[in-house]
Amino acid sequence: MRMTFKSLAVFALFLMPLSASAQANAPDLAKAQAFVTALTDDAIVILSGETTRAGREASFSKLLNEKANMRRIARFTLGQFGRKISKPDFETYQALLNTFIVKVYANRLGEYSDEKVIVGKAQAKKKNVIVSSRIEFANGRDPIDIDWWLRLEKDGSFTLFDVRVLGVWMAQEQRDSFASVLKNNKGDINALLTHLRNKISSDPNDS
Amino acid sequence: MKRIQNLLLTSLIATSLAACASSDALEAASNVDRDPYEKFNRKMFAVEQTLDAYVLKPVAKGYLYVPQPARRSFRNFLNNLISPVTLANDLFQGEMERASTTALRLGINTVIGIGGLFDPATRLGLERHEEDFGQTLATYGVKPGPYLYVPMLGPSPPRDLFGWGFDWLFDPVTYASSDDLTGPILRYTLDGIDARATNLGIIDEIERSSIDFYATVRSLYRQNRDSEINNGVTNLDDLPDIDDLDDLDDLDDF
Repeated sequence: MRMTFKSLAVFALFLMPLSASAQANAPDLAKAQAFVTALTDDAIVILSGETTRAGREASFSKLLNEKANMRRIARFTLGQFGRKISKPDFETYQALLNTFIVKVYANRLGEYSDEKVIVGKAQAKKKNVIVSSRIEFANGRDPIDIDWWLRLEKDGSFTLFDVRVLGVWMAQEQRDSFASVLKNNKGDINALLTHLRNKISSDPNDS
Repeated sequence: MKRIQNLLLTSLIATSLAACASSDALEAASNVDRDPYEKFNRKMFAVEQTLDAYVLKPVAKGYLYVPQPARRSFRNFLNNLISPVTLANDLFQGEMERASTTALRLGINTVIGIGGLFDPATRLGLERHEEDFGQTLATYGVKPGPYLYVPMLGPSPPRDLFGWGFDWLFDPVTYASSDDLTGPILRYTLDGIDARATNLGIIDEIERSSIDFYATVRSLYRQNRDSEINNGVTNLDDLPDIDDLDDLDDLDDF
């Protein structure tokens, strides 16, 4: 009996480092859900609390820079073209994209005020975690399902990579649109940069 | 009305031709360049935008003067009216649980919900979903074929265009009119006005903020359609691989 117990103890000791390392690699799903809860809470505070457009955009920009890995999003939205452009062009693109995203989504999300977010299940594959959620509206509008694609970073923290609304991944949608502009302009990144600049400067709500 | 009939006939012939084309050609069209008629499609999209600006949008704006509870009831009524089509396609797909949900919803909302004007079924936990024959074909492996944009119908690749026509067979409104066409067209028009009115703000916002509205709509359609075919389930295996974006230090090596 003593031998069996000893063997078990040795076996357990041998297993422990394995399970510990497995845990270190697998994303913590509860932590991912908590990340989304905190993110949506912050977003609701901004949407309902910030009355001016400039204030809303500034707060939204801060939230995005804290919670999302904008560099990864920038590379992704460029698709194959991301490998061809020069570093200065990429930096210009990155800055324009950040402003563009803040302007687009601070406004689009404005449509979803007066809501309650219910965070649902999380599922993981390698470093990716998808957290489901549902937005319910007080005015009786049909609820909307939203998925949050998080990515586990090297330091163990999560960052936001993409958001799926009504079956549509937003970063993928942007990548498709950008690819179309690049394709129709023979891959000239300047055409895309000009389009982004025009969209940012022609924002009618700025005037 | 004759013109609409001709249009439908032409679309059906075009669909059949596309279906007869070799599967290799369709495969190439769907994977390599999934919008081979982009030039034509962009023209059709421009026609749609003109029609939207001068007809659909003003009508939708006017419709918003109808009190919200009345619009809600009308939406419920339209949803209930289309449910036999969903039921038929649930069955075609062998989705028995979803079929029973649709059948129960249809019964409850028609009887207790006074002809579908109210939606007590949702409150009983029977959540609504929609299916169409385009989705059914997709579950049997039929590819969408080349992207096509049809004014007032929206993105309609051959598979979905054919599916849309086929669904009329299971639509009770088809049999409510003597010519089989007036009912579905009227319902489709009213459905379009209600949908446009409900999403007035968000559609305008997407248009205003898109750097290429045509490409945005194409992407929205494709992604949304794939999601509908998968019944909204997120499959992690379908996500694009972003592992190679992880080495962000590579950015210094341009």
